[in-house]
Amino acid sequence: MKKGRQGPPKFTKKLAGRIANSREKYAFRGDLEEEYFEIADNEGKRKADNWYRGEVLRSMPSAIGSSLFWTAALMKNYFIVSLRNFRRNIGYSFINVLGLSTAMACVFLIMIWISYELKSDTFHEDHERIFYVFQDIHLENGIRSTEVTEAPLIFDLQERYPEIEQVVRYESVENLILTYEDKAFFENGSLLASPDFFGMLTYSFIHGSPGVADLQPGTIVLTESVSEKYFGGENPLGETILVNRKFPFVVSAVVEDAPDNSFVEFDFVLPFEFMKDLGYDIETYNNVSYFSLVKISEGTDAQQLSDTIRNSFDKVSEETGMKRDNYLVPIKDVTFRANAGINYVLLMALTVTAGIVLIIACINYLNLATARVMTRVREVGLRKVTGAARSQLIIQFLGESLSLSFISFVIALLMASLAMPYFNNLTNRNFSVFTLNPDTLLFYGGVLFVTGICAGLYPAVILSSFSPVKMFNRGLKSGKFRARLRKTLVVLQFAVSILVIIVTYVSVVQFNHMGTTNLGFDDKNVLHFRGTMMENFGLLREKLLSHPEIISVTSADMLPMIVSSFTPEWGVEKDKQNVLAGQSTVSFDYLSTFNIPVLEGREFDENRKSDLENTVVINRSMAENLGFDNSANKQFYINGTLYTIAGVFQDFYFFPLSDYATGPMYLRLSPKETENIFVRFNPAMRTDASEIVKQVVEELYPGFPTDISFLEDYQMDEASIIDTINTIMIYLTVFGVLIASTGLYGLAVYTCENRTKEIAVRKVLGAPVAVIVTLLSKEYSRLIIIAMTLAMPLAYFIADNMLRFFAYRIELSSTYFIFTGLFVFVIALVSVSVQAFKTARIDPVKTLKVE
Amino acid sequence: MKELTRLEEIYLLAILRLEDNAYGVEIRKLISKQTGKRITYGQLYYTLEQIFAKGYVNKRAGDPTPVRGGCRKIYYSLTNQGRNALVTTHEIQKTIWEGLSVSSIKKG
Repeated sequence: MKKGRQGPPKFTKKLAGRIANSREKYAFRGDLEEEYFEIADNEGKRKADNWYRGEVLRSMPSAIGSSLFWTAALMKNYFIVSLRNFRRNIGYSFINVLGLSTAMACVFLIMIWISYELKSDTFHEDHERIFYVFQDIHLENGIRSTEVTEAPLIFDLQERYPEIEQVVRYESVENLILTYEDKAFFENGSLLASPDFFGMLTYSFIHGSPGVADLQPGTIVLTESVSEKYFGGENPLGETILVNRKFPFVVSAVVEDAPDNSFVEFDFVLPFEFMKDLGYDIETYNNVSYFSLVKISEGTDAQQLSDTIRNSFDKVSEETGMKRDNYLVPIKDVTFRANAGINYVLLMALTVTAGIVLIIACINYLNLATARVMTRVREVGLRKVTGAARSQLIIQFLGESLSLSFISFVIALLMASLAMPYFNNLTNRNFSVFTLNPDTLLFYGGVLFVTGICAGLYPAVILSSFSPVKMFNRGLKSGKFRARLRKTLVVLQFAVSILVIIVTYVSVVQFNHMGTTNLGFDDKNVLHFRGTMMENFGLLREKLLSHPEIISVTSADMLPMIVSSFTPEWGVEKDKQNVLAGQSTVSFDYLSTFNIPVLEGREFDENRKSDLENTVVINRSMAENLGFDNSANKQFYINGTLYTIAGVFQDFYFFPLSDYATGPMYLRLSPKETENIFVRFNPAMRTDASEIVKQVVEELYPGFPTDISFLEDYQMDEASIIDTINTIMIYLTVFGVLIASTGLYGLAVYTCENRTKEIAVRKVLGAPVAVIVTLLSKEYSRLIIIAMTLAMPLAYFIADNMLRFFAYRIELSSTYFIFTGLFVFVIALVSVSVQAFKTARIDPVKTLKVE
Repeated sequence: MKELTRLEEIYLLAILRLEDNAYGVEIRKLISKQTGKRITYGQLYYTLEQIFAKGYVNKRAGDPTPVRGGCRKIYYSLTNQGRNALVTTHEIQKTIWEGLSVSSIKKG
């Protein structure tokens, strides 16, 4: 406000200042004020004020238009400058973009997979009210949680807790034979479920409907693919399928295949009561292998109910005499919390690794961008001098990095979609990069934005903060600071790379170890087929052994590496509680067929009739636990019955690979209860043996599905997830290493470039090329060593903790560290040396002339 | 040779007429009087910037005065390009109006 004369209304005046066309802000304001006073003089203050306000208001649209016009012009300039810059440093820019794209692509693929898996089982209606019942079993050496329960559990729960609206139980039975007309197959995807199954869980019906698919006795529900398999494209409703060649079931409905990220997997569903016909006990609490689901009524606090159940429901403990706590797990979490589900940890490890790869790429960008800061110094100085605000500069540079991020993003999408078929193959899923839903959009946007900003913020802030004077001076001070900063970033990048490489290296070896390997028994040169329902196993065995190509024949209830039956009640004293011991039911020659060494005593002997009664063969862990000096012929109790030990065999590994990787285990003899037949053959006669077995089986059991395979080809579901993750980890490491290496190389190049003058001067003063190269390399090496000292301990800590998750783990030896260290060292050193060499060879005349 | 839009023509001629006194307030007054429409300062400066961007006028900074609250005046003057454009436009104008008079346009 001026002295003597009143000025125009203050608020509007401020407004005028703000909206003024950005170029001639002052002229605009001045003109307005001048005319204001004219009007004030002529027509009075009131009129002038009104005029002023009106004028400013009506100027707003044009003013804004003008701003936009100039902003557009500025943007155009930014764009041109960016492009120019990009071209000038095309090497770096290329590295940057490629690095960012690769990293982004990796992250995309992994996130698509993970977000899919995380959504498991949310497609059921009211899924927030559906829970699995888990239980914690209190053992001597800790608590074991499991997702399987006893058969009558749900009814007792429902009776006791009115908040439970609906209950369902189910179980899967392997190796059922399904027959329709001339088609007969062994099917593993069975589900035997209680009537409310389709009422609680939501599946799309292709034929039939939920009400009808009540799983009444004698009915079966098929999935689409199974229906295809047996009926072609025809509607199978009303047709009869035979199960195990004895039991007829009428098809009551066909549903769509369950999505592959669902915990409940099935190919067809039979009524739960059928378990009885198959010989299972579903009335008592003796068997823990059933899945129980409950649906709670609306408004119930699930956590509270779960706690109540945990604390007050003791039926199981009463019935079985073992302390058990039951609790609820939401259905969408079950894939991760079940022992048989996907290991949450693995997926997290993957995400973290992918994230780290992205971070490496960003640090790369940061490094290189900061390094190039000096080339832009004069531009920034000029802009500042001609009136650029700091915010404008920040916008300019952030804009550049966001555009770069965007370009990388587009390329990443392309890369991801190219890699998609291969990725789908790997993960056994069907993804598309372009399936847009709120999740993916949010996610893509997030990556784009975060990368752009993170990578670009630092250079932007640094650049805009320079004072123009300093810039043109090229003061030494800023040089030192920059150098220190650059060095820090180099160290950081190295450290992160080292960390990632070590951790992934270790993981990869660990997974490999778990997947393949010597499990302790010999699965090579063994044929396997299922002999469910085949009677007279003795005759089969005789016939097979009559061929010289066949070495031995045995059978068991499961594949040797799978143990599904455990008991805690065993020991020298009756009713003693112990760690869980695994049990397998076998027939003669089991140990010899699998070349499992017998340490003490002997195997089951056909010639000893007594073996058929209460005799067992135990493994070393069990023998150690029992504590006999010489276990042969000693006795102990299992589940209250006294057994005699015939011999002790060497431990071998069995799945599930959790706490029981090697635990106590025993074999019991009962050929009638075995279903899987194993035939060891002479390795030289591989194809012949296969033929022979086929022949004999067809001869003795016409009409049975013959599904003979080599045991060594057997792939476990778990193993394949592990394989998948394994492969992905390898790729990630490779990418991470590549990106880090290119970054290191770029940095080395830059470091040398920056010191061309220094190098030239040294040359002039007589230093030979070799000395210069050594000098630069030495400095760089120091940085690397610092990085290593930072990274290695951290890597050790992480790797060690990670390995604790696996009972069956590798040793964390120094090999990993040494190898990685050497590798990174070599790469860095080579890049610096090469670059130093190049720079040192430049004619000093050329370098020193530029000034 | 470039032809001017009507608006540009009006502004350039106004600036021409005002000679050394061609700055915001004066330009606006003149044009408002000539066309009979009131243009706001917003529109004024927008157009001034446009013709400046196109190279038809030059800017010259004047002194700040108290009356203007200490803000500078910006004086505009024609460039050669601007003058050429005016000439071209005028010639085109002559050509298209050739032979027609105002009375021949108004019927009867």
